[in-house]
Amino acid sequence: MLRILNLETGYGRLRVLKGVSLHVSSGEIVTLIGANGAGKSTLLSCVAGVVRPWAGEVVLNGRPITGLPPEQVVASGCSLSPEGRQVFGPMTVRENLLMGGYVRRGERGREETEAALEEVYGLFEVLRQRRDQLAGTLSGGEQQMLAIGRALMARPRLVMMDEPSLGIAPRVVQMIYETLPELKRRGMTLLLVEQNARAALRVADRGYVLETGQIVCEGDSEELLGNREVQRAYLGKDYRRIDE
Amino acid sequence: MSAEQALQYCLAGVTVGSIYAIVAIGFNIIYNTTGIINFAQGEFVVLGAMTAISLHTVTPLPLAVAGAVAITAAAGGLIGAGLTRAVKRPTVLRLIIVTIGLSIVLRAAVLHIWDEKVRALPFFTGTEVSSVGFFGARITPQALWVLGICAVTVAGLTLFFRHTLTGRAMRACAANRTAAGLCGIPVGRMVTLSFTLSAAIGALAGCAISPVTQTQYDMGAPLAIKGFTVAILGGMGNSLAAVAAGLLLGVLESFSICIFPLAYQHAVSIAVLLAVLVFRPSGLFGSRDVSALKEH
Repeated sequence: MLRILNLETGYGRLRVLKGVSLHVSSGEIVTLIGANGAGKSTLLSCVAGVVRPWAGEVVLNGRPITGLPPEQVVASGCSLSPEGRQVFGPMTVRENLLMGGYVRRGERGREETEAALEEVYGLFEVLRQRRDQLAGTLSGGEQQMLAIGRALMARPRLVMMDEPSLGIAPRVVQMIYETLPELKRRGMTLLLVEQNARAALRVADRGYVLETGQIVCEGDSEELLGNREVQRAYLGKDYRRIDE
Repeated sequence: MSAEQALQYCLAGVTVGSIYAIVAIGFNIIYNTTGIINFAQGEFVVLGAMTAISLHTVTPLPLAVAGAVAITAAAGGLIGAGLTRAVKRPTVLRLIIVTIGLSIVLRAAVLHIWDEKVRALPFFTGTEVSSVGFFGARITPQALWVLGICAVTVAGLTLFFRHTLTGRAMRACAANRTAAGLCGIPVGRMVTLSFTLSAAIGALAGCAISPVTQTQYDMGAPLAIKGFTVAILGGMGNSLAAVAAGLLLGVLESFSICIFPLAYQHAVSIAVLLAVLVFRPSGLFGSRDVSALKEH
């Protein structure tokens, strides 16, 4: 589905990604974990076309999408739910979602957009209740659901989510995470970036660990959950038990 | 002051106010898409009027106006397209400063193409002495034209921005450019479209007001200041409020003449601008909550 080869990018002179390679197969949930500033969000932004790559290759469904502008990446079936939600504050919830389906504009698209709208409302009932409310007045958790819903409106085959648990009440995080396997059941492929490694690894099939712009570790979720280095650095368990 | 006199001042104010309103609407379109204030808006008005005046020497008036609107719209589109491509890291402030430069260039271009002479389009209906009675006061038919054009554009734009996908996409670009791109909205094309639309409406305004105010190469800047004041007074981005604010400012200016000397007429609008910016920056009709949502 998605193959990233030796991707390098950065801001100004600062090199953030130092040759990252990873792959996501169709129907998988893959998570990318790592500390703040490791380059996780930069990686997703680079795939989505917001940040230009310096070197390397991004292939989606066998088609190179390296350096394409965001609207073309979306049109080729890959949507990003960005970090910090980034909803259109002065627009209503429904309008926000309609924007997510912009790639399908035209006569034929209208019905499909309505269908996609129903699906998103089905997934997050609270968005239906608040459809005429301005997105900026929603709570953080509701905005996160809106951001995910908006990404789903384009009916992507690959959904990338950047820190869906950031700054949200634990109860809502749980709710959002419960929808991820449902998305997988509906045939979507997920690439999930998280600082909250435990939550991400519980739902994911496989994971990668990114440290200062490089992949340092990869494996099945259980494997990573059991990995001592990962436990120490990202799961809040330290070596105290050895000392005891 | 007799009631009829007061009404006459009112109507004079309404005439001027509708001119301000239609210029303000041009500001709002670009602001609604990009968040920038296009200080070359007044130049679109002059360019449109001048083009129409030249075209009118060979074609009938309606055709000349239509042609001028099309030509100015194309020029606006080119500027919009150039702006997004030429400016590296196009932040709002940078683009605003570029539009100030553009206004100077456009003014010089108009001076070169035409000259410094004052010109005017003929009245759309009637002549400069014809007028319509209104409860004992009189209003020129051209003022009714300006009001009518104003009303139609506002209604059209409101429908466009609220109910069409393209209009909503333009608003999305202003609300959050990055997120708009991530939704698959071609942001660059939306910016070009907003400049096209705004230039077209500016040109239409220029043609409508030319018979009343006449047209000279350097009348863009003062018009832009008035239009800007009105846009702020109504609340940036809200075209319906801009009309109300435009009429209010026009009437205010018109009545100020009977209290202060004529020379202070323009000071009134600047004073209003300052007062609004200090006490109610979201505009008379803008809600504070909505403008807070725009600042992310």
